[in-house]
Amino acid sequence: MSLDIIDVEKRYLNRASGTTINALNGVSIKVELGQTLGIVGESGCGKSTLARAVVGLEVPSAGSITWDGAVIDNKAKDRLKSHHSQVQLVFQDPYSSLNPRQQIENSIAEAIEVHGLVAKDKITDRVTELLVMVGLDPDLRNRYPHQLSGGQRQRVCIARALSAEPKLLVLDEPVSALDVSVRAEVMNLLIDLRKNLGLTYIFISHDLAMIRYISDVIAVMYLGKIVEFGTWEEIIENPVHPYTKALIAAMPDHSIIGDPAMLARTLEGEVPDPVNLPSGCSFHSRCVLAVPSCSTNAPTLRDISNGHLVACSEV
Amino acid sequence: MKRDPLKPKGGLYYYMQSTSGIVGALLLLFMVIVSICAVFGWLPHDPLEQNVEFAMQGPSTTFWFGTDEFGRDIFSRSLDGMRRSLTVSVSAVSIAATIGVTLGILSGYLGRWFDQLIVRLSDVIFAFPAILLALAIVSTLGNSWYQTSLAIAVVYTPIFIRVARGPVLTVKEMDYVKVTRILGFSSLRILRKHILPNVTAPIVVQVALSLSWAILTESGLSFLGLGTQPPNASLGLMVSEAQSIAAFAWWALFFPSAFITIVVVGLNLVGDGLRDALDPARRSS
Repeated sequence: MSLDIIDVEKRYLNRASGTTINALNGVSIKVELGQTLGIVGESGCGKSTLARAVVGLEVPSAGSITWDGAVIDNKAKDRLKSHHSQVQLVFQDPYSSLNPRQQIENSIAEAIEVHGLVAKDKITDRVTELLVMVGLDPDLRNRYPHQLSGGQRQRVCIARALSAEPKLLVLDEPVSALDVSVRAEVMNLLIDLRKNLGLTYIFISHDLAMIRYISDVIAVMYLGKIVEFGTWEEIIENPVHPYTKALIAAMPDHSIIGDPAMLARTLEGEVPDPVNLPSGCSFHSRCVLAVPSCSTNAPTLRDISNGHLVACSEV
Repeated sequence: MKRDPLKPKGGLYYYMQSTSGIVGALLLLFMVIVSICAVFGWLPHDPLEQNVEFAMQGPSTTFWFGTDEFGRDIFSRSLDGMRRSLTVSVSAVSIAATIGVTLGILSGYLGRWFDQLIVRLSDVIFAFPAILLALAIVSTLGNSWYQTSLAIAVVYTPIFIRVARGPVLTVKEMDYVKVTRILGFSSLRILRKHILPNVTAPIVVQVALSLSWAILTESGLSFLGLGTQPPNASLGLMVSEAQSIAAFAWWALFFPSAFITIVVVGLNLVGDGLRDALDPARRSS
């Protein structure tokens, strides 16, 4: 069983100005069952668009996303009961992802009830089980979201996602909105859940430290494309693409901080406008290694060693 | 299981926490009792009985609110007028709110051509001055109480469409609604359980406000001779009739006006109380 993302493109047409925003420009990744894929990149690189496409909230303009061979389609009826829909999402902001008028218990029980996942008289027990699983006191079941802290809410969101008994959980910056003190707790919870439930994760973040902590493989995204892909050791210890190097240099807690050679590679300028993509390699406008041919030839991902992929002609 | 001190209580408990809600409910109770008395005819005098002998008398033990220029008892007429005004405004607002909220929510949720159609149609109705449109409808349909209600309902429906549609546009983009789609819930369930409860606050307030405006619109129509017909009484009609004699008989103007005020204030307070009781985040616990 695996998630196959093949040549996915997503464009948004702005009718008012007649322009097209290129959010995803040909993304291909394969995630095996039980694996955790970390996706890292700056704001606007298409991480969240990819997450939304994987759960079926967005329909790709081109390419395909399949889980266990079946296309993920938001419009399919009874999608939760069918095997390809065992994909759930945890949003970044725990404050807007819980219905303020719904008690915690009902938030978690709703999917179980609607899809008849457990017998009616077992629903309460199942909710208790899920609350305990995410490390919440079952007595919180009658609370409303505003009575909970950010960390507690995010745990409820995780419990709600788990209520649908997913195989694949897409985590779109699940700890970015939380206090630093509770981030580690939620990260450890996610790691425990992965182990206990055999879950597959797609973990999206702009924070390489979090990505490194949880991922088996890491994809680095830039302007809707994957520029480097490999195991976490390869990406963190032996980054090849100049963009990846710059991201690692920007990690505040990394040992290389203070190394003038690495600091020199820190990024300057802004991400180019996704409406007018740069020609050639989309990173050439900010790249320290750029040569004239970079502005005309778009590099493709090539294998440099044992599945470590990089899209750069100069390394 | 331990008892959770923060466990939410029933809606009525939270309603009774708000002072304005309690005062509003008492005023509303008063109005309902008055209307019931009028329905069953438990009035000290016949509201239509003219008695020129007692014309234009001030408040007394016999005529509690005084009499008008035909010697009719203003207390009895006010009670009967309250019943008529409430009947018209409650039925008009019920129709307008039901149709308007349904269309508004569907329009905001479905978007596309349906939204365009509904918004344009309500713009057309909005383009007419309210009283003029009601006047046109009443003069076409006739002026019995249900036709007056229908006319006021048509005028007020677009207001409910707007009040319901706006928040739906915001709420449907919230993550908690997107999650319901990933969880595979039906549109009907999403609308009923996740969108409707989060857009009720402005609707409830709008219902309370519209009820009071409807009473004033009915008064306006009656004043123009198209709503309640003399010699029957409605609060609005009594106020307009009293204008000519207000200089000599203040009571003829004061008491029906006071009743309108009580209705309007009472409904607004109930609206406030309901808004607070319906929103878990506003409950003081």
